[in-house]
Amino acid sequence: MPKQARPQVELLQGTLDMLVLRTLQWGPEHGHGIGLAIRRSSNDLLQIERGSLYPALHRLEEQGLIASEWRSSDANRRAKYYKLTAAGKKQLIEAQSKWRLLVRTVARVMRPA
Amino acid sequence: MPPWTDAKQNRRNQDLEDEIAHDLELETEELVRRGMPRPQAENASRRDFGNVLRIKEKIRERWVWTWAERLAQDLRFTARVTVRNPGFTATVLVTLALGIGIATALFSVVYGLILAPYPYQRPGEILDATLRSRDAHQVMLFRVSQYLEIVKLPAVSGVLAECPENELLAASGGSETVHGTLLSGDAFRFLGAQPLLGRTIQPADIHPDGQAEPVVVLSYNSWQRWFHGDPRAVGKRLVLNDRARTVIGIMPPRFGWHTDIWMPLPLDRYDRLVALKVRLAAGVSRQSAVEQVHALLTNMALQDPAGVPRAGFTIRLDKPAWDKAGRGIQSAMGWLMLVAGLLLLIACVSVANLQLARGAERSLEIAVRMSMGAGPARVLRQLFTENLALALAGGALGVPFAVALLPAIAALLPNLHTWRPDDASIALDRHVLMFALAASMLAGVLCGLAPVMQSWRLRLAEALKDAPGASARRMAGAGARSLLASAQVAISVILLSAGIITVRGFVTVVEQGRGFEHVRVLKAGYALSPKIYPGYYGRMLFARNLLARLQELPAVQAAAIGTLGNLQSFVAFPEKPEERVRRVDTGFISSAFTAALGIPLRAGRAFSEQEIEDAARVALVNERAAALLWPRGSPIGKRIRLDLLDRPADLFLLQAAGPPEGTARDVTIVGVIGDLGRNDELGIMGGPLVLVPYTLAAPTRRELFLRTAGNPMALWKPLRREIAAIDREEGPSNPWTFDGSLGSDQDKAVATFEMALFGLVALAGLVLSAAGIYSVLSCSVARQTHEVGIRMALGATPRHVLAGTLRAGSRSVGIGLAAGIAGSMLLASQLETKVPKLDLLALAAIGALLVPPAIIACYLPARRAARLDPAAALRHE
Repeated sequence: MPKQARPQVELLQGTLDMLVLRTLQWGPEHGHGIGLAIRRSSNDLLQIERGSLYPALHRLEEQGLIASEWRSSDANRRAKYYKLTAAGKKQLIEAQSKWRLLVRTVARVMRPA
Repeated sequence: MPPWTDAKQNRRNQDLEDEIAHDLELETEELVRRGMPRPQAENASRRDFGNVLRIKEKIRERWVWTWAERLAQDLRFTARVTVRNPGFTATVLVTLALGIGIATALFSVVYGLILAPYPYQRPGEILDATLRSRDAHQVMLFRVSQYLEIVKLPAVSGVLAECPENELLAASGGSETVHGTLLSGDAFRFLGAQPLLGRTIQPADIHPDGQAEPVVVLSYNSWQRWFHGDPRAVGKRLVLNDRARTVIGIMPPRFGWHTDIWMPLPLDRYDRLVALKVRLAAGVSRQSAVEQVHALLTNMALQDPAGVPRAGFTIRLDKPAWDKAGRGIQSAMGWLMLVAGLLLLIACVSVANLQLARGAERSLEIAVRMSMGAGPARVLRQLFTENLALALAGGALGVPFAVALLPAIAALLPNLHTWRPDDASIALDRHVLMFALAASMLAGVLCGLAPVMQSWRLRLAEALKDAPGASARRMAGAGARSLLASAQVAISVILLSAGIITVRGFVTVVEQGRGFEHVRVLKAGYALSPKIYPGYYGRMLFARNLLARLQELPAVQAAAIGTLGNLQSFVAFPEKPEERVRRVDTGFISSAFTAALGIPLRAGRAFSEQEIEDAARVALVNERAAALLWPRGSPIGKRIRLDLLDRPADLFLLQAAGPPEGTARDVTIVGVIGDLGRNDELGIMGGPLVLVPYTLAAPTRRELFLRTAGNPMALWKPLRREIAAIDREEGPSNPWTFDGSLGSDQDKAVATFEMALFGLVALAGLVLSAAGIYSVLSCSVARQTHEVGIRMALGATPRHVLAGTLRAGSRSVGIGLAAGIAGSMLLASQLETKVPKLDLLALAAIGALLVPPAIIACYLPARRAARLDPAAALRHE
């Protein structure tokens, strides 16, 4: 299946961080797994650019929202696993509620009166 | 430059590489699982991944960027904050500039005088060799004959022999005495010192017959003084002790402290005395070197017993006290660093206090920032950046201030050679600048601590609610601020009391100098050949003859013999001969000694001619010895026993027909003289002193003191003539002229220096603390405006308000005073001074100096509070 044919959604500015945090809610994951998880849970609609994903991971780590740790993966290989920190959890809740508000508000505006 | 270290950076890079490699591999495996051949899968996943290098670049950029961005942000913020409060910024900068500037100036003095390293090769390996008589009263010098054998020992790799030799420099403008040192031929190689110009002394400068080439090496300072730094000085001739010598080289600054010139050491006389410095051969322990030297000298004593003390001797190899003459200076320098540190501390406390006062204002701003998502670490970082930037700016201002201060301090330094190494450069060099930088950083951290701690405890919700203008008591830091104000007062008290101790020291010195006459004296030594003058009577005849001849010279007002310095004796009372009371300096003098040196008699009388003639058992003591030995009552007529007189064998030939056995060591005190100021050149140590008639002993070397009304240098030639008239083979040596009062010129100069510096520092401290108290109080008054309004509306009179504010201020001052007085008493108890531990006069002076500025600092804000219009104050938010 050629990729070009698949419909794709442009990611809204600033939502990548939220998606990453959300993904990590299910437990520690490495960069590849995070990208995969986002793609899968969006039914392949969201293709995460690696060029944004890795810088985003490092940025989040620096902000203390996620933490990283090297451990051995399933295939018994060393991988860098990211996990949510307490601050990250708080941030996720906040972002989620903001997001919901945004979605509702935008939807209300867009809904034909 | 990013702040992480290389190792950290490497690890970070490696982590990133590993992470991306791992994820690429996972992607490839997934494709392979779906049935794609591996090479293709690898390509596909790589393509899919995008530009790996670009991703890495992007992340790395972030690392640097975040750091730089934060710094820029913090600095921008700092700039905004400082510009918004120009008054605050100016006060902080001036305070810090004052503190850092003075501390830096003081440090440059300390560095130039004692810390700067000596320009010798591996100075840590150089050892001083000393020969001591078994009973350890005498530190003796080595003989040239011993030196020549010690050089050959396998345990040592090099030996330096030196011998002080003062010279009279003849110049067109009148002659002057200079400090000379005779050095063995390889001495400069031993020290590993290179000349600035020309060459140094070489082994070839000492001929095989022991005669030395008439050459001279100049110190940097004498080169400047005599030739104004002209490089053509090398090759010129100087007439020293009537002998023309060729200048062969100039040494760089700070090579040798108290010597003006170096000359080759003649090896013609084997009994010439020299001091030795050695370097050990590789792998030889100090102990085995000591044993070798000891064995050698013991062996040599079989041939020539005069070389070592008969009672047995010990050899010691010690790290040299390079700064022996600077010992006085060292304590003063320690003091200086202490007060510099205290002043810096006051400046920091002052700034911290200002920060705290403003911190109350800023807590709102910080609370807003924190609620916007800045973490505590971020806020702390901001506060520290701010303080560091301020402190560095203050330091930058302080350095020019220090530069301006340096000439003043250098001018204050007592210009005496034992005190001030002439070659030491007191200037702002990179070490001093490093110090200024370190002091600024330290100040920045110290100043930042208080506000940081304050914001640490800041409770967000409360701070947000608590708009400025609410009750001051609720505001964070009010307690901390008055505590800091108290600390400032306490440190100022300590500084002031240190200053007062120096003033009292000065007064004591001036007091001691009372009665000393201003004299012009030529001091010179002579050393008789022990072969020609083997016995007591020959030596005594020579001395008596010489004194009589010198007394006849028209220019000589008084001629005296005095052997002082390096002689110590234990004192015991004849009633309890077993109990050694204490060690005192001992001197052997002729009757005219006190008159020749202008020393006042405080009690009793001087020696009579007859007592000298008879070698009577009489003694003079100085006031210090009198106070130590007889704390109560007069020492006149008391008897003491000097053990030095009991072991004359090695050094002295006592009169053969002495008084009956057992009482030979007992002397009767006939007079008390004033305390002499320390003068190394004249052999005066400044401690308790006992003087006895010179006829009690007859060493080969003696020192003469000739007092004159004219130029003392003019006596040198007549002195040579008179000695030669008695014995053509003998001559004077080591001339030194003294023009001043023996009382304590040097001590006085030192005391003046200390007093002036401490005065300066204490004054600066006082100004800073007064400013500190003022700023704290005015701040709290401004903050209490609302409260004052309420109180006045409820019927408080301006008088009540004034009293209330004053009370708050005086409590800080009172606590500070109490703590400071306790602290300075503790400090004084550590000191070896005559200052009483609880000094009422000092306390009164501190009160007089500190309380008025403190009261003004409290009163001005209090008056402002009292004059508030209640209506306006209530509206004030």
